[in-house]
Amino acid sequence: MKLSILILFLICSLNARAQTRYIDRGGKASFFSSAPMEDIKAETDQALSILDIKTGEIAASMLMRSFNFKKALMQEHFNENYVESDKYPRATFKGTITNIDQLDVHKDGVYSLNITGQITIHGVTKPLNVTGEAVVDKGAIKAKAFFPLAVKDFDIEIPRLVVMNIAEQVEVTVSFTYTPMDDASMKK
Amino acid sequence: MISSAILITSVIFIMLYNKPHRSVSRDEPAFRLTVPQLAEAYALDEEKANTLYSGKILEVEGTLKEIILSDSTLILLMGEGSQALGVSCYLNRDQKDKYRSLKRGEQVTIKGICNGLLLDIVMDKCILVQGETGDEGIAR
Repeated sequence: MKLSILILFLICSLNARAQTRYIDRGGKASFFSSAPMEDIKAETDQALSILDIKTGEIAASMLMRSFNFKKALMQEHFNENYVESDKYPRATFKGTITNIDQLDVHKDGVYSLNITGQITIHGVTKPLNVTGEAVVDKGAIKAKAFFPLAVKDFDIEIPRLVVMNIAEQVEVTVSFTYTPMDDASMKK
Repeated sequence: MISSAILITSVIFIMLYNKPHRSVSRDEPAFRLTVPQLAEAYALDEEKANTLYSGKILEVEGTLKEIILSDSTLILLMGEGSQALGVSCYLNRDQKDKYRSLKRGEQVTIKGICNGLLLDIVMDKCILVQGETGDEGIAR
């Protein structure tokens, strides 16, 4: 059994204190790299995230292979040469919303969230602190964050020739629409 | 002579550079297997399973456990009650009308691209195969 700690954490959390847990299985994540040759953009709408509105614990995970690129060749290079998706299939984040006490899920409105935690990509873990925005709308929490990442921080090697093509820093955007875990699925 | 060589090289380069994405509806699946078979492969050795299956078009057959519908996505969850791991199939947009006739507990066959293991094994750009011949929908 070689399940990652995060997955175990996520599965365990399915059983415990479901009423304060919120989930989104169809979260959006994208990264954008502006470069002299060509802008590169990839996105997924299959990011998974679980949020505990009581403790502020937040975890997110996504498959590298779920990122869609405009060009098939870029997608292939991304998976096979740069992030090595078979070896390091997921990007994960685990952290805490430090000002979770300010978020009131019973009161519609816009909240600013301070999130601190650790991000793992390509087997390398780095601290990450971001400010996100959450909109509470009829019991659902729509959260969004935007942050830059440096490619070389994660030991991702991009061949010299291609460097011209890919910026050293990519802009990452994530957005999740969390609903209470019990209502997350529409059962037939 | 040289100029034609350059021309051929650049044509090949441009064709490679712009090669199209795979089409789930047109391309043959690399593997046909059941949900328990796929789940077992991932539970035993994820990296090995990824080398074998991820990034490839698979056709899987299994029991429909749940239908999850959100603003942007439609997910069919497949799996056996006794098994911890299931398969979540993210349906292609053009399949939205087809899922309505499905019922929980039904046997379904789905074709899609395997993306690897998240909470379940994720299949992307899925189309429903079962019960439909020659009408598998057009991939986006």
